[in-house]
Amino acid sequence: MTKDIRSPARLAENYIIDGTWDAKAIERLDETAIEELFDCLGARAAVELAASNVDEGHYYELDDETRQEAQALQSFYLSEVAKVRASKAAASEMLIDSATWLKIEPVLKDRDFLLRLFQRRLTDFASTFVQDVADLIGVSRQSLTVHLNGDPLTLAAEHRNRGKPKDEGVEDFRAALARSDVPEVLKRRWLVGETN
Amino acid sequence: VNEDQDQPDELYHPPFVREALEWAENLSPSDLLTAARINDKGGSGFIPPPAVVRLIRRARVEGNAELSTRLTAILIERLLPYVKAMFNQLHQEKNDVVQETMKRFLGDLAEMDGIDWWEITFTRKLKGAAVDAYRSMVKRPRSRTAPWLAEYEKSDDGKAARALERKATLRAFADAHFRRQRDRELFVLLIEGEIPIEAADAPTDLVRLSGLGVSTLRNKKTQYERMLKAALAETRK
Repeated sequence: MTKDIRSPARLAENYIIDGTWDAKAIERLDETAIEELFDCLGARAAVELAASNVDEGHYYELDDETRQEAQALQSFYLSEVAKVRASKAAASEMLIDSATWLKIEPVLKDRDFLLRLFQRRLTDFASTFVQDVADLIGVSRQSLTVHLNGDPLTLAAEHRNRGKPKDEGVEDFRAALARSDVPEVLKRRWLVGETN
Repeated sequence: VNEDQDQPDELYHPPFVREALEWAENLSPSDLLTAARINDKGGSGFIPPPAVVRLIRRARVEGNAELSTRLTAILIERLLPYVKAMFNQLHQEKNDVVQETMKRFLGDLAEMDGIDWWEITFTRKLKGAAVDAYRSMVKRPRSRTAPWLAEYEKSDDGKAARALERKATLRAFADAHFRRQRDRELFVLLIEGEIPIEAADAPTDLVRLSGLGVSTLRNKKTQYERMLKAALAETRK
């Protein structure tokens, strides 16, 4: 995903862009990492300075050479997609794995709520909620809807150990969301939405 | 730029991306492709790159490969000239740095279906990919033998001097509170001395990159060297 928050690259980025110098984290870097930090500072400063002279919103007419390069990059992207697709599990399989759901815990911030979704113990979802969660997990709306509307999952022992909801019943989505620890901004967005 | 300068700590779309997505949701595929071709940031209907990234991934997981592929082609055509122009400033016309930057982005675009930083702080991430490519592909001569340490070089192989220099430089960074990003960039570049202040024959120099005059840059360099000397004096205590 993204670089470690204390990596030399991130520390350099944070200094140049935000002006924050994390002296504590830098003190802990070894000699090689310090060299890397200087290297990253120089590279980041040069790239930012160069970028500031280029208007991002400017419309560039593509010459033939650039057009050909763009096509080559497109082929590169498509071959990457094919590679990834070959190694990825189907959405329906991903969704019956609690790990898939726990990956978005840093955003939803409520494990109990997520486990209820995973176990299909909620009903009557808001439409914006379904789209947002499909985006977060990276599955189609349709696969997510099929998962959420399936029969409640009977848990294998391994899942019981990962934590289970405080009760076993099926609950209305809005009621569960309202009393969850999901961030307010998301609650507001999902509680007002239409039902899917 | 619409993009918030602060690095958010949550992997969730910022409002300008959400609004663009909500707007795009009601478009037919052909209208969506037309809108994605709008390059003018201020133009009505412009879809910012982080939202285009989400639309590409959505279409892909929804099984709409054609729409996803066509949106990707449009995004590549929008980004490639920008990345090229950026590296031209550093006189890195060698195409491989540009290619490498683009491939880092396209690799992430292909691999991830869920939300990542490309959908939140796209420009910052793109410049990060450019930094990585630049570091890995452009070998830059390091000339960090600062004149203010000459007296120490004689004592041993310069080992102690280097360690001291490093410590003092880090201290100077911690002490230097520049409010403007531009000043922080110049601070780094002037004390690291990788890009010359003015060198008409060199591929690039700081006069051309920063648009500042030679005397302004020389004054800044003098000021920064004073800051380094002060940090060195403190470090030696």
